[in-house]
Amino acid sequence: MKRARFGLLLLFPIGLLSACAGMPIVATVEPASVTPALVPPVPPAPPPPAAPAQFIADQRMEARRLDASGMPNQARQHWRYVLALLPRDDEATGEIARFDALIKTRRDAALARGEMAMMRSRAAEAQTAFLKALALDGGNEQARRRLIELENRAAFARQDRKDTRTRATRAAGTEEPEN
Amino acid sequence: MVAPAPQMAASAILARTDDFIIVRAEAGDTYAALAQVYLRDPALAEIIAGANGGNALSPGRPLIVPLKADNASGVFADGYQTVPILCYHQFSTGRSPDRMIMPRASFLAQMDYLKNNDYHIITLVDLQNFLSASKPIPPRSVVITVDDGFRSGYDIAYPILKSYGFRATFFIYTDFVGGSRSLTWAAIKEMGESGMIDIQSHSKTHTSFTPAAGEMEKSPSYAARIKTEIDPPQAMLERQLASHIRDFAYPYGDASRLAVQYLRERNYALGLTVERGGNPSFSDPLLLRRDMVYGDATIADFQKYLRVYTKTNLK
Repeated sequence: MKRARFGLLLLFPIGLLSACAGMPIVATVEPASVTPALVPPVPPAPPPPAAPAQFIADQRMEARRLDASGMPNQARQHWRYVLALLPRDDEATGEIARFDALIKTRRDAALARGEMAMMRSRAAEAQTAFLKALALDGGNEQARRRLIELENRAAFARQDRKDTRTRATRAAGTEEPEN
Repeated sequence: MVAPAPQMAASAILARTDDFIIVRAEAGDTYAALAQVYLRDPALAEIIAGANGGNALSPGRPLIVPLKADNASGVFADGYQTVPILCYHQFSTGRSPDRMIMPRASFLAQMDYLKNNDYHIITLVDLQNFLSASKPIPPRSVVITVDDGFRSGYDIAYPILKSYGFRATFFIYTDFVGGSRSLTWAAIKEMGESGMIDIQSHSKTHTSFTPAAGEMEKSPSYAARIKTEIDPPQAMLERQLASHIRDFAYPYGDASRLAVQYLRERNYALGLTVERGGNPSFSDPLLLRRDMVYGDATIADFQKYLRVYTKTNLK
């Protein structure tokens, strides 16, 4: 019994090592009935497709053009295409890091301007600032929430004006507005 | 987020990330076919075309396929995407002096204009996905709605919408159903079951939510009135159609703070007014704008309602 347990304990780390190496444990014990001739040959892995040089050159050029046009997040996206095809490309890696920092700085500045404008009840200025933040970072929740809040306020202000007109119309005994 | 990309021949894929893949175009590929394969919706072809500068496809050329919207908010350095929601009421075979009645010929011309000018008719569910930034929509997206439940919606608009393959939402106020000029439950069910028409609520009696003289928005009687206009029609439509009611068109387009709050508590997805203008991704989902299309609208008038992008410098 003790021998059997010891044997199991010995097998455990061997099995673990085999599993870590991605090899099935059973492969260590080859069944005698299987002859090598019956094992189908493993087809060679297809060679990785060559990186399309012209496409990559186009992406670099477009990234630089967008950067020069003041569109950092679009430029960053084109560097990401380059990096997807050439994962060790130093220029793409460096440019993405540079754009990440630039976008964060500009986005945070726009958010701060927007919050300041909100505090001063300058709705149009706040909207522009939060839109700029969203243009830089499309998933930014703070900018999105604030823009919805501004839209909501504007919608109720319009409804309040409409209600006033509706009440005046009712008081005058004329018909409801259309729809 | 877009559904995961299905498996493709490994040789066609040059690179893959969480939000885009780069594939080599094969002979016979089209943007619509690629959109069908990778985005599960051929209508999203323009998103792939846009990511590739709108260039014509040529075999062997690498292509970027965005799996998520490049910017799901639809806000870019030169402006932002908006979605117009068109609002119709009645239809007639000939001209009518009533501006709320759309002549058949004009409606046909408008649908024709949408089709021939690359507009994409999307549903309110698609719009909801855009508002929650969960799924991209084509660049020139438009929603069609028909209010009240007039019989002419079934007799005139429905066959035209079907012939163009345009889906629409009909907002019904339930007290009106079965009247001499209104839809029957049978017609409503037929349209709902067709998959072309989505049926949603437009209140019980079509009374404005603007407080009446002497009525305060914070009074219990006003709250009771709002509940009566929202809950019974929802229950009736859900019972009749065996489908979920999640959108509400305010009678006369008049929202109120209490009504919006109540709809929010009841988990309504969208609320629609008749304030003119397109809807950006940052719209309040319960205060959406719509453009009423009057019977005397010319095609030039109609074009003005199709505001799909607001240009503004956001650099």
